[in-house]
Amino acid sequence: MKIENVSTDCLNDVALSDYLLNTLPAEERSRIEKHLSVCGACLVKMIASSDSVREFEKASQVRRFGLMKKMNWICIAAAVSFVLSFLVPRYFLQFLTAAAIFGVKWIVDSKNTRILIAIHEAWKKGGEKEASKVLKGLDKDAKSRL
Amino acid sequence: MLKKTDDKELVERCIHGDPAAWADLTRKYSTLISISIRNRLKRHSLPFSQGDVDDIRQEVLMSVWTRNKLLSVRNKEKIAFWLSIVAGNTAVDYMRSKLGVGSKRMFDCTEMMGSGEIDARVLGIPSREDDPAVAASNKELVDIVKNALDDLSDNERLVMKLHLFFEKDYADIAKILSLPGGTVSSCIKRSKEKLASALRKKL
Repeated sequence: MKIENVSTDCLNDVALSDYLLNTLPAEERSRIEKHLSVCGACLVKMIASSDSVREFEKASQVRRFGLMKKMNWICIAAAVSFVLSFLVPRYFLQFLTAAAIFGVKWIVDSKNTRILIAIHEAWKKGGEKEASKVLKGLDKDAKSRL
Repeated sequence: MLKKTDDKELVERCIHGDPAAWADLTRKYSTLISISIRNRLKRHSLPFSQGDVDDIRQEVLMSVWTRNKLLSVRNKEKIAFWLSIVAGNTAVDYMRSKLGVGSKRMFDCTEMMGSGEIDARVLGIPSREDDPAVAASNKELVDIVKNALDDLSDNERLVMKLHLFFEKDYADIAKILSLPGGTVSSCIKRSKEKLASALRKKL
């Protein structure tokens, strides 16, 4: 069997990426699969891209998890420092200060604070209209994630 | 700074020449571009250094920005696959020019997949060039398998190639081809039966 590299009919990048995204109509998918079954060049392109995106998404998840872990540690450190400030009266002020610093860092780094500040800034710029635009955008973002 | 922009908005701003949006997009997908370059060059068994990867990444970013390639993307909210393909193509072109035109055969994947040597390795058959009789017999076996693959339907051939040549498992194939897992496993089972029957007839 000689696999034909039908170079004049080879798939363009947009068609191949739409195929991987599964956004093409059935007829187009069929045509592309027929080509992939005989064209080694396009098949390698597709496999390499699929593997790369999967590896990238895995690495991104690991980074996000790492960030969540970091946020949890900041919260725990704030709580522990606060409790220690009462348990070790000699260093009450020091532990209380540490608790305040960790607490502020946790609040400032958290997503909800960013959202609140974005809404406040929009409200300062253009009043209720601007603020509701930001809220609509957030709502759309939340729905798209569902 | 505090607003999280999605890809579609970022891409549209890049298309309109917004350098800040481009900087955000670059930051987000730089790692994907590097991964894609490495994977593609490994697929072609081409030696490369970290310096090559960095140079190719710069070339990818430069060409996407200066030629406004994002304009051609249909699904602007999900550009990862498209960017990965572009990065892979740029990597292959870069190595082609680095190694010279004479190395073009190296990039012809159909040669790789169609040549008896590669298929023999993939099928776990040693080439045994020292023994002409064994080599001829192994080549005949490889040809039988290739002809049997030819007789499969387009879908079955694609699934079997992913399974045999690229060593993808059922779950991977189902994900890549957006098929249910059951469909993939029954397709592979059916194709293996056809291959076994073809081998039995010839041997």
